[in-house]
Formats: sequence, structure tokens, C-alpha cells
Amino acid sequence: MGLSEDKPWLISSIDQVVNWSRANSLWPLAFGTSCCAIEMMMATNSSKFDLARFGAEVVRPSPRQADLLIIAGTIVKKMAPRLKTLYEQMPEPRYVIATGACTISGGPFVYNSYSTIRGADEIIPVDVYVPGCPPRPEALLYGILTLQRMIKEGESMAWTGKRKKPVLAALPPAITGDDIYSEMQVLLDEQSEFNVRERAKESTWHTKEYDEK
Amino acid sequence: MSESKYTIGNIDISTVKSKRPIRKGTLYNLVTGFMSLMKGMKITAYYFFHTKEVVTEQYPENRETLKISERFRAELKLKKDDRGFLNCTGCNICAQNCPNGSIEVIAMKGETNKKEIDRYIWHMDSCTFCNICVQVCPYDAIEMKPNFESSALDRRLYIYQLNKYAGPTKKNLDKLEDPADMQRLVNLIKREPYKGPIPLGMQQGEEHNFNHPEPVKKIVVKKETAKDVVKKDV
Amino acid sequence: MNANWSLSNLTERINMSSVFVEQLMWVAVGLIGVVTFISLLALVLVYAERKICAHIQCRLGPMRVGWHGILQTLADGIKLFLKEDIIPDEADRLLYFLAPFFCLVATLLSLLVIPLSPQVQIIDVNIGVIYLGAVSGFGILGVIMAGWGSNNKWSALGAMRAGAQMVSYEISTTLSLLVIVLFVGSLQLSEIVLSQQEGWWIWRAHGVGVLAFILLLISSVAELNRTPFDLAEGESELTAGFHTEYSGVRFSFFFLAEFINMFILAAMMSTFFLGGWMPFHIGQLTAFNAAMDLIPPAIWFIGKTSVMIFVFMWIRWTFPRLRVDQLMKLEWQVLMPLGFVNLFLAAIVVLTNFYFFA
Repeated sequence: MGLSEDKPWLISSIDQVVNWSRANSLWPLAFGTSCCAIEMMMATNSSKFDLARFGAEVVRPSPRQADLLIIAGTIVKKMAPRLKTLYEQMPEPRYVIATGACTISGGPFVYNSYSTIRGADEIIPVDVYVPGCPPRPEALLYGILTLQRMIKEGESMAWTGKRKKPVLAALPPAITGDDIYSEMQVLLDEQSEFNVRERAKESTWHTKEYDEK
Repeated sequence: MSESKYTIGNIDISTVKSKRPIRKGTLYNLVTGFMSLMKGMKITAYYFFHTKEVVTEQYPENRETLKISERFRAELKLKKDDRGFLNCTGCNICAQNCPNGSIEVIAMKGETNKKEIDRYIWHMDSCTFCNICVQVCPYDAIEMKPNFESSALDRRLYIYQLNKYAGPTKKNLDKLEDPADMQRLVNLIKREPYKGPIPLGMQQGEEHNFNHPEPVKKIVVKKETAKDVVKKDV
Repeated sequence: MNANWSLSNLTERINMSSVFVEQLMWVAVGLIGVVTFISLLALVLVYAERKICAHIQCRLGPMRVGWHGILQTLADGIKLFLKEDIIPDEADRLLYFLAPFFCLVATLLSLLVIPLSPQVQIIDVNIGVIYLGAVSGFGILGVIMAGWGSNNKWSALGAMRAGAQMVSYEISTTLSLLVIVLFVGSLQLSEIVLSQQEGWWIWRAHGVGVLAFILLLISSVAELNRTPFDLAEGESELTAGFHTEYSGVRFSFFFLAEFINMFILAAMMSTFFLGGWMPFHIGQLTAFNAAMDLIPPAIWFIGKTSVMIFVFMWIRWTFPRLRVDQLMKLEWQVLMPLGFVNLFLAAIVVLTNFYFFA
């Protein structure tokens, strides 16, 4: 749509190989805070819904070796600086999936809570949102398929650090293309490109270490 | 036992009455330990060589045969009959009972002088799918569907408008004498623009027409025929 | 013109003997071959590990990447190659850079002396056994350098544990290998393989041989830092241990070194105890022996090594982890005394000629 710009043939063929390899070998970081972590464990490590089929079974405990951060669980204010530290320790082509209602918008705690933050994208830039409370393991697998789709279509060596989300390619099932008016379509196309590095720096969460810099 | 040293008065409180574990010699331990290791390895080898013990459900490949229970809650829908008429009167009970305010009901007063639904907004990003709204609805107007494939790349897409038309309920529409009235009431919508986050409509019973990675299979598939009264979506 | 630039003229000009240069060229060819071999081997071994571990756990491994996931390791490799390179701020740069190379060089050097078939053995050192023991010390040095150079106290702790464990289990390994050296009477690896013509040492040196084999199996698993002895990189104890701070290509060197080490130890076990590239002969059945001889010796070697690698992976995915004090206790209080007793008994057996097919 608006995403396939004219790239030289060499770059687009290298992109295909590079994006294929990055999408098919996502190594998650072992990060689970509360109830969604149980469903994430079922999705990744159990025998019934097996993330190893997608190549993502190597769950590394160290953020230096992981490239996918599946935020599973509520993020409280005490955990927030540590989550930001973990995100910054991951090497560059890094992706974030926000699982569950608590990480999308605060979930059950959005209305009246003194200790949770309302959505993980107050702190770190999120790529894919998977709603549910908690989402089924298959829903999380669908989220990973969506992420693979985004990597294969929205990243390129011609623009590193930026990610063009093919937002219209992964719509929740309740929406079809007909319902989105044409202005909305253009709006989503324009605004769906974002610079991950800038976005990571401009988060509105103020931590003590962050403020002292 | 009567000579136990630990007594309070006459009551014997010595706790060491259980038998000590019998310790065997080193050679016995070595040999039995080794045999138990072999037993463990035998079990593992059994699972390796018998591939029919594999229990994996290969999710994207088995979508045709996947059976999700009908009671699984993953998506909120307003109940419609085959003409597309709603039961929802805009009474706001579901919104008042939602624990974190994920439902917003905007009602209007239409031509029938009764309260009617104008917009029914549902925030999927904060909904916890607890089913309270379905349970408290007095008009049996909403239900939860098991359609769980709902991940998205942008958070703003998660705010839905669930109703297709703004107008009276099915009961009130059936009470009208003139069928032309039905068409007029249901199609006639003049609303001021919604000032909240961007609302998006929802369609039921139709296949996706974009290049989706795996084709979404709807649980409820009902094609609207040409005989339906409500043809145009508003 | 041709006379001016021939090999002998060149070497006269540079004052080197042409035989030396020719040998150097062969060694260069051998090194290139070994590097190719390592890359292909890593592809196969990582895929095999994931599939075997999956089937033992009643699930399927990688399935979507190629046909049944064959291209999975390729995707992993390309991705690791293109990751950002992070160097911790106050890390000791020299040690941090050199540590992965030390681990990889140790495996490379060990691969040079393994006899794959009667014609393919890159260098046939006549102190082969001692060479193998010495060169695996490089790997231990690499581990300790990685832990210290990362400027991370948990890495240092993991490295100390890993280093202590690997050094201790070297002893048991060498003690088991010495049993076979006693039987063969020579340290040269090709001699050891040739001496198994009448039968493999695992049943020829009965009793003593079986015990030495089991000791070698256990200490190889511990030498490789694999479960049940992988406390140094156990994921819930010390997040990733000595290679916590490594990312991208450097991490892939450690990863590679672990898998190639597994191949080397499996190859050692099959060379010393299972006959290397010797086919399976039974006594005087000439027809059977001739049939066995039809299979080329390289296939025998690869088959035996594959069986040993499967046993390593089988052990890994069956048993829980040992604590570090249980680990050290096992070595110093159980395996080392057993090793010495075994060696003593082996000496007696050799001196009294008490073994079959003598």
C-alpha cells in the first residue's frame, strides 16, 4: 500500500533474506510478571502449543542474547525502571509483544490503581498487542505470526531503526477494510511509520536515573 | 518408652519415635543409583521412539479442525437477528457494571419517544472479558464470542463501535404497523461526530478481503441475502 | 620465466626448504577443510539437538522454517551474525575480545588429530593423547577469560565454577584414556585405531574397559558443561553464566564451541573404545566380516560418533541438574578414586595378558 517504496533490487533481495532469518529465529527473553506469564509458559514451553515450531524455543535468560521481549503480566511502578533497563540491554533488532490487557492499557487496573502503569507503551515502544485476560496460547501464537508479518514487510536495510508497520495487514477480526474510511486509511498509513530509537527515548515515564541524566 | 527422658508430668513428648532410615553401603548405593538412572533413560527413550505420543497441536495448520468451546470469551458482539435488528435499548446497565469502564453507551431519544441506542463503544484494550456485562444485561442484547485471533499492530484500533445502526430495538420495530417506517427509522441517522478516540465499525459474517497471512475462519457465518431490510450500513 | 618462478626457486630465494612449504600448504588446506567441516557440523548438530529434545518431550521441534525445520539453524546463524555488537562499558577489552577465540581455537586444534578414516587424518601427532588433554586447556582458559572480562560479578562467579568443574573432570577423562593407552602401548591415535582390528576395546578389555567407558562418558558430559552438570550456565541459577554479556557473533562462537566440543568428545569415545573407523568384525566369520568391510570406514566413524552424540543428548534431556558441591564431590570423592583403581586393575590385566583375542 504505502509501504512498498521503490528500493533497488539488490537491497530488496538482501532484505528478504535478512528479514526471513530475523522473523524465523526470534529468541524470547524469559520475562513474566503475573498471570499472563502462565499462558506464555504454556505457549512457549509446553508440548501442546509449542513455540519451537516457529523457531522461538530458545528462551534465553540474559537480555544480551534475546531479541524478543514478550511482556507478560502487569507492570507495576516498581518494575518499570527495570523493564526499561532490560529493554535497553537488548541488542538492536529487538521486538516487543505486549500480552494481555494489563500491558496494553492497564487492564483491570486502568480505572483506579496506585501502583500499576497504564500500558507498557508508556515506557518502551511496543510492536504487537495481544488482547485478552489472559490471552489463549493460540492467541499469543497468532501475535507472533503477526510480528513475523511485520518484520518481513516493514523493515529494511534502507531504513534501519525505523519500522513501518503494515497496520492494515493485521487488523483485529472485527474490522474489515470496508469499515475503515478512506481518510482513516491514509492516516494509518502515514502514522504507521515510527522510529524505534526516537520513540524509546521520548517515553514519558520519569525514573530517577532517567531524570538525572 | 516409659523411660523416655522427655516428659511433661506424665505425658511423653519425645518426638523421636520414627524409625531411622536404613543406610546401605556404598556399593549398594552405587549399583541401585545406576539402575535408577537407567530406568529414567528408558522412559525417555520410549517417548523418543514412539512418535504417536506427540501431543502438539500445530496451531496455524489446524485451524480448520480447531474446536474452541462456545463459552470461551474473546470478543464482544451485539446480538442481532437475521434482519440485523438489535435488542439493545441503550439502558447503560452494562457500562455501569463494567469493572474498569471498557464500555461506553451513548443513547438518544428517537422518533418512538423511547430511549434508543446511538453508539455502543467497546474498548478492547482494557476489557478483561469477565462477562459481567453479558450477565447483567436485562434485554439479552450482548454476547461473547470465542474468536481469539485479535492481535494488532496499533493500539488505536482497539476501540470499537459495535452497533451497525442507531435506532429502536427489534421489539419496538416489530410493533410498527408500517414497514416503510422500519426502513426510515433504521436508516435515518444524524449524529454529531464522535469526539472520543477513533471509532471503527464492525461487520459480521463476511470474509476478510485483505491479504491476511492465514484466512480467518469465522465461527458464525451468515450471509445477508438481498431480501434483508437493512441493506445499507451506517 | 617459468624457471624463475617455480616453487624451488621461490623457496631458494626465501631460504626455506620446499618440503616445508609444501607441508605448510597441506596444513592450510586442512585448516580450510576443518573450518568448513565445523560450519556444516554445527548446522546439523544444533538442528539434531532441537529435534531430539523435542521428541523426547512429546512435541515437535522446529517445523515451519524449511521442510520440518531444516533451515532453522541457518536462520539462527544469519540472525546472530547481524546483531548489534555490545561491549560493556568497563569490560577488560583484550580479554573480552579474546575469550571466544580461545574457546573456538581449542576445538579447532582438537579436530586436527581425530582419525576419520585411514586416509583422512589431518595431522598424526605421535603424542596424540597428551596433545588432546593439553589443548582442551585452551577452552578452560577461554571460559575464565570470558567471565573475568565481562565486568559482571555473576559472570565471574559462573566462570570460576565452570573453570573448576572443567579442570576437575579433565582428570577423570585422562584416567580413562590412559587405560586404553596401557592396552595399546602407544600414544598415537592412528595406532590406537589400528590396534582394534581384532575387536573393539570396549569388549576386548572387558570389565576394565566397560568401567573406563562409563567413567569417560560421565566426565565428558561434565567437561562439556552440559546438563546434568551445567550449573555454570544453568539458566535459573546464574543467568547464562560466563557468557551473559556476549551478544551476536561472539555468543555464536561460544555456542558453536560447545557443540563442536561435543562432537570431539564423542569422536574420542568412539576412537578409543568403539574402534574409530574399524568395522565390526566377529572372530572367524569371514563372510560377515567381508560384508562389514563393504561399508566405507568414514561411514563407520560417523555412525559411531552419531550414536555417542545421541547418548549425550539423551542424558541431557533426562536428568535434573546437580548442585555445584554435589558435582565436585562426585568428581573428587567418587570418580577419581574409581579412575585410579581402574588404572591399577588395567595394569594388572595387561601384565597378565588376561584379555580376549590376544
